[in-house]
Amino acid sequence: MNRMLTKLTGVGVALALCLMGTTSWVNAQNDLAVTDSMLLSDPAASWLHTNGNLAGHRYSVLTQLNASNADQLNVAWIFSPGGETDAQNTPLYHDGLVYFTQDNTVFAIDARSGRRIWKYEHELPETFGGYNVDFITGKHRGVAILGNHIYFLSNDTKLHAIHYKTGELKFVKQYLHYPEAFDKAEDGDSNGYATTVGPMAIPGGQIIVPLNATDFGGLPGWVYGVNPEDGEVLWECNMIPGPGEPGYESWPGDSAEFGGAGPWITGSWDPDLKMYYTGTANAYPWNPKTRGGGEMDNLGAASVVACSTDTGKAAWRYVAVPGDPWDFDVPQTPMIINIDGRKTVVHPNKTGFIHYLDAATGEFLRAPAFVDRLNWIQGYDVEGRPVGQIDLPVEGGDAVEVWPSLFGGVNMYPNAYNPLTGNLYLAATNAGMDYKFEEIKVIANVRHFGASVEFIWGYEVELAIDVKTGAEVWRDQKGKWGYAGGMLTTAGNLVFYTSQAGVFHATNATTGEILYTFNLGVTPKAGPITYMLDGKQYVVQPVGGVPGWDFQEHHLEHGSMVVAFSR
Amino acid sequence: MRRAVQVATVVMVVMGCLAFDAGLIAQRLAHTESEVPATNPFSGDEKAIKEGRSWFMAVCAPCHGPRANGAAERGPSGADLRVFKRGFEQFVHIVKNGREVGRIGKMPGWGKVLSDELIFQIGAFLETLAIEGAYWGESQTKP
Repeated sequence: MNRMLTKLTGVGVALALCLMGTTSWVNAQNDLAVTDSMLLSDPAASWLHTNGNLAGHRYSVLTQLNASNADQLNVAWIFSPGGETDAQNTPLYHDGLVYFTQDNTVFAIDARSGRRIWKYEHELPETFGGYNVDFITGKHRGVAILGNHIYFLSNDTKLHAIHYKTGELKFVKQYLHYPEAFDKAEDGDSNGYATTVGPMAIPGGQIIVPLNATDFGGLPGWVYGVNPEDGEVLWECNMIPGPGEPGYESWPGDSAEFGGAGPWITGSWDPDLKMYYTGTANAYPWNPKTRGGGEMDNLGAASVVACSTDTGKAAWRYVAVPGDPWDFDVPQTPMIINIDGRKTVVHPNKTGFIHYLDAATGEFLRAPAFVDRLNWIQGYDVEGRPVGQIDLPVEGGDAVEVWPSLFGGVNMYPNAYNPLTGNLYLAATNAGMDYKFEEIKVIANVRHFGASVEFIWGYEVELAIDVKTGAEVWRDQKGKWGYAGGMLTTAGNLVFYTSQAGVFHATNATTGEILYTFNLGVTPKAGPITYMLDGKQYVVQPVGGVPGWDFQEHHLEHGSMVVAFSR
Repeated sequence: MRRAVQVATVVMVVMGCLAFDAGLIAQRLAHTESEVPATNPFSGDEKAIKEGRSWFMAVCAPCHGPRANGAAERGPSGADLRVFKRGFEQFVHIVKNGREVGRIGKMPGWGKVLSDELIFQIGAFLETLAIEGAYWGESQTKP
C-alpha cells in the first residue's frame, strides 16, 4: 500500500511538474515579445511607438481602409478610462491589446471589444506639486513597449516596467527628484522634474527617458538612455551644453542652472546614425533678463538636439530661437525624412517655420514658413539665424503683439508624414499674442515666468505641406480656435484627425477631401493610431479634456474616451 | 508773520500725514499675523495695487489669466476673479489654503509662501478689476 502510495505520489508530482512546465511553456509561447526588428518597422498590423515608427512619421502601411471606402467607417467600440485630465496619450497596439495612459494609470484594452483587460495604477507622492505642476499632473503622451513589457513614465519621473499581458510590475525606478508643493517642500526648494512625455524603445536594448523641468522652475533638461531589464542609466545627454561644449558660453553667469530646455515630447531615432533627436523647451525664465536679455543664444533651449545613443554625448545642437524671449519652445517631434538622398530632420514647430536640418551634422538647410500671419522675425538667413526680430517688450511696459503666439504654429499635437504623397500633415493653428515682460518673482527657490500673455484668438487649421518645397497642398480650416488632437496618415491615402470641436475626420491625403466625420463630442489632445486584427483594420482615437485655454465657444464639457473605428 | 504761518502750516500738514501714516501702519501691522481684517486695508492704495499686480502676474495669472477673467495660458483655467463675490476674508482664506475646483484642477494653497500683506495687495489689485456682481466687502460666512 505504502509502495502504491509512493508510486502514485511520484506520478502525481511528475504530472504536476509536467503540467506546471507545460503551463509556463504555454505562457512563454503565447507571449509575443517585441523585438528589435519589430521596432524598426513602419507600423502595419501593430503600432509600437508613440509616433508610429522611429522616424516620427505617424504613418501606417495599412491599406484596407482607404480613400474609396473611408465613408463606410463605423464606431467599433468605446472605452472610458474615467480620466480627470487631458487625454494626451497616443496609444500603442500590440498582440490584441491597446495601451492607453491617463492620470498615472495604464490601461490594457481588448482591441476587439474595448473591454479593459488590466489596469496599473500609480499613486503620486503626497508632496508632489509646485509651480505649474497641477497643470500637467495626470497627463502623459505615450508609453513604450519592448520584449514583454510596457514602459510607463509617471509624472514623478518614475519608469514602470509592466508585463504587457498581465499588468504585473517588473520594476519601478525613479530618475530625478520631482517638484514639491510650495507648502510641503521640506528644504524650502520646490524645484524638480515632472514628466509627461512618453518613453521610447530603440533597438539594441534601450529605453529613452526624456526629463523635463522647464516651466516648473527651469532645472535643465536631460535625456537618459536606460536598461530595459532594470532601468539602470546607460547614458545621460544634457540639453544645455556643459563646460567645454560649444554653446556653454551662451549662458551668462549661472543662468544655465535654471535655464529650462526640457524635452517634453517623444523624439525620433535614426538606426544608422544612432542618434536620438529631440526638440527642447523654451529658455527659462520666459523673461530673458537673467540669461542675456535675448542677446545671447542660450543654446540647447528652443533647440533641436541630437544625442548619440552610444555615448549620450550631444552630437549637435541647433537653436531655432536664439535667446528665446517668446516662450517659443520647439519640443515637437523632429521627423527624419530622406529628401533627395539626404537624411533630413524636418521640424515644424511653434516658430511658424519648418526647420530642415542635416540629420548627421545639424547643418541648417532651410526654413519655410507655414503660418498665415507671422511677425516675430522676417525669416532665417542661410546660416539658420533669425533675421529682423521685432523689439522685445520692456519689463513692466506695454505689451508687444507677436505672431504666431506661444501656441505656435504647431504645438504638442503631433504631426505626420506620408512617404507616398510626399506631404507633411500639420495640426496647426493661427493665433497671435500680446506679450509682456514682468518682474521675475521667486518663491521656494522657483523662478516664475516673468512674463504674461493674452491671446489673439485665431483658427484651427489642418495643413498638408509638400515636404520638398514647403508649399501648402491643401488645408482644412475651421472657424474656431484650437488644434486637431494630432495627425495619422496611411498608405490608404488617408489622414485621420479629430478637430478641437471633437469631430473625428477621415480625409483624402492627396486632395484634402473630407470623406467621413463623426462627432465624438469631446475635445482631442492626442493623435489617432491604426492596427489590424482578425483581418480588420481599426483606427483608435483618444479624446479627453476640454477645449484649450478657456475658449468656450466649442460648447464642450469634459469627457474621457478611447474610441475605435472600423468598417 | 507770513513766514511763520507758512512754517506752521507745513508742520501741521507733515504731522497730519505722519499721524495718518502711523494709523495706517498700525492698522496694517495689526493684521500681519493670522488675524484677517474684515475688509482690505490696502484697498485703493496705489503702491499696494502695483505690487499686488506684479505678484498676481507671477503666481495667479498662469491659471486666472492676466486680466483675471479666467482666460489663461495654462488652461484649464481658474475662476473669473473679476466677479469674485465671497468677500475679502474668504478671498484670503482661499488664497492661503487652496480649494478643490472640480474634476480637472485645484487651486493650490499659498499660505506658507505668501505673506498676508502680499495676499492683501493682490486682493487690492483685483478689486480694481471688479465688474458687476463682484463683492469685496465683509464676508457673509466665516472662513
